[in-house]
Amino acid sequence: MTSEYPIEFVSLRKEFGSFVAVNDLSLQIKKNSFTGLLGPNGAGKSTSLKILTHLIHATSGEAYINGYEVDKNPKQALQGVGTVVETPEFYGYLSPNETFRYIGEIFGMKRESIQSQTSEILEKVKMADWADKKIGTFSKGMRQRISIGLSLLNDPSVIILDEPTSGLDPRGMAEMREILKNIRNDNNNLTILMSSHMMHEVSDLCDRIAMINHGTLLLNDDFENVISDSDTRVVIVRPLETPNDDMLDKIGRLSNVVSAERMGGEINVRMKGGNEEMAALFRQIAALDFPVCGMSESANALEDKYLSLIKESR
Amino acid sequence: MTAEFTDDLRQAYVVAKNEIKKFFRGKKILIFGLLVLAIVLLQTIVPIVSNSSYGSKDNLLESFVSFAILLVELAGVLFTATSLVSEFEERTALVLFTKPIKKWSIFIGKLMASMMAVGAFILIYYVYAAILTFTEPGSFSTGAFVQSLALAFCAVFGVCGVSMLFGSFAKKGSTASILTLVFFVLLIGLISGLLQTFAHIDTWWSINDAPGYLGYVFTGIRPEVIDVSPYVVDVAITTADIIRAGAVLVLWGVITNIAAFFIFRRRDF
Repeated sequence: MTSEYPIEFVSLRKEFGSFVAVNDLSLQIKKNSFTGLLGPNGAGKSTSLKILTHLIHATSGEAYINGYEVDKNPKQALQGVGTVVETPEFYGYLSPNETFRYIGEIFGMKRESIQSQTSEILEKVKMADWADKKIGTFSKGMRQRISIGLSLLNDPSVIILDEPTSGLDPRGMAEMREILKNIRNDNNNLTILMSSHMMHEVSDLCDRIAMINHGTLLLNDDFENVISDSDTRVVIVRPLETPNDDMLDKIGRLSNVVSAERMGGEINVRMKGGNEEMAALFRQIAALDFPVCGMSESANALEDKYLSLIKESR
Repeated sequence: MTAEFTDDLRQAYVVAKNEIKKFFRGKKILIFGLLVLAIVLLQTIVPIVSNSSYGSKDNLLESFVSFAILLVELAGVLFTATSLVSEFEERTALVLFTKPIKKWSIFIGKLMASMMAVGAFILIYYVYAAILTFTEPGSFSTGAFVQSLALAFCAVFGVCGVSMLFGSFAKKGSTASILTLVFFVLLIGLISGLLQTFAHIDTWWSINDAPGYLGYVFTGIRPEVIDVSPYVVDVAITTADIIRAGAVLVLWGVITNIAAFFIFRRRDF
């Protein structure tokens, strides 16, 4: 186990009766990466993360964090780790301040350090105004923000997130993504592993992708490699005016463009190539003689890749 | 003692502190407090209303402490049985178990909290009984009082162990509480009664029998049922073996707590 990979699964297997949830999973998570763990429901994502966070025991194989085997040395393994597994329930009789104090004391942090970190973190997750209210009265979104905040206590080097936006309303999801982006931007020395089945979320946040199905690893690579390996990438162009045939024709003739289709008030542009080609395409579209008010990459390329890999693995 | 072990104990103390906070901020403490108050008031008021008395300090203490085990068992049902299972049922395990803490620190913390909370109630109950003895004639048997109190603490350990055992595998807190209640109120009494009646076995090893010594210490004798026929119950009077009773209660605590810990340690979320 090298420091190059703070998280590592080695031949991990988990059986629930006759059902094999994780089947010989070997996976290394690169240091300082934000890795999205993708897979359909029942693929073994949550089970793997629960083994990693010492919530369940593997039938065989090992899970390591920072070189420590979780099952044998949970205390050492989880020392520098922040976790958000599903939507945890907190002790309803405690306030966020008291919860942070409790968990801070578990970590062995000094009282002053807990206090200063708690204020800073609650500010970051936009829960400072609720610091002394009982968590029992909080909504799911608020509890999830507390959960993300708690994962930052004691300056972790590794954060494990199991579907952190699951069950949240669209606004809650957007807020959570914003918080995760800020966490990532504030500290580049963090290794984050996040399970999800939302392509746009993973596209938006992650720089590496690991895909599993039936508890087996299908892919583990840089996001860019995964996307460029895909046949096409999709760029969504939003002209100021309603798209017309002339616009489609002009975009369709640009280099690396495979096709341009009208989708309501937007144009879906399928293109070949990597980030450099995409940047060039953005410049070319901006230089066309009709005003454009927005351009972004669609998660479709990742989705296409995901679906084809899942189909192959059946 | 290694630094790691010391830190494990420190974490157990942190868990215990939070658990006690949970007890005191929950509704169960009110229920339990009201039950204790009802028992205390009944024992205090009934002799006054009926213009009677216990007759001696020892009689009063014997009467009071005979209810102590009931309080311990009630506390076991209300607090201890749900202590472990609540982490799974209320999903707070997702917060606590994913932190750098060993399962045994969590277990010891929760056991300590239960024992301290129940022990505190028992101590208050005994002190109240001791104060009330000033209304009765005779001398105060300090030795017997201390022995009875020590046995009560042994009973707290034994009962907490049994309650932790049910809480270690039950899926819901209510199931753990019901199992604990059925065990103490019905099952163990039934087993003891059947063994005494049909096999003529003295069930001194039963966790229901040993707490009887809480009161026997004031008389020094223990009634032992030796035969039960449809019309007659033969009872032999034997000398109360206080040490054996204490050992029985502690042994129940040790065995059940060890079993509870091993089940809890391997339990998946």
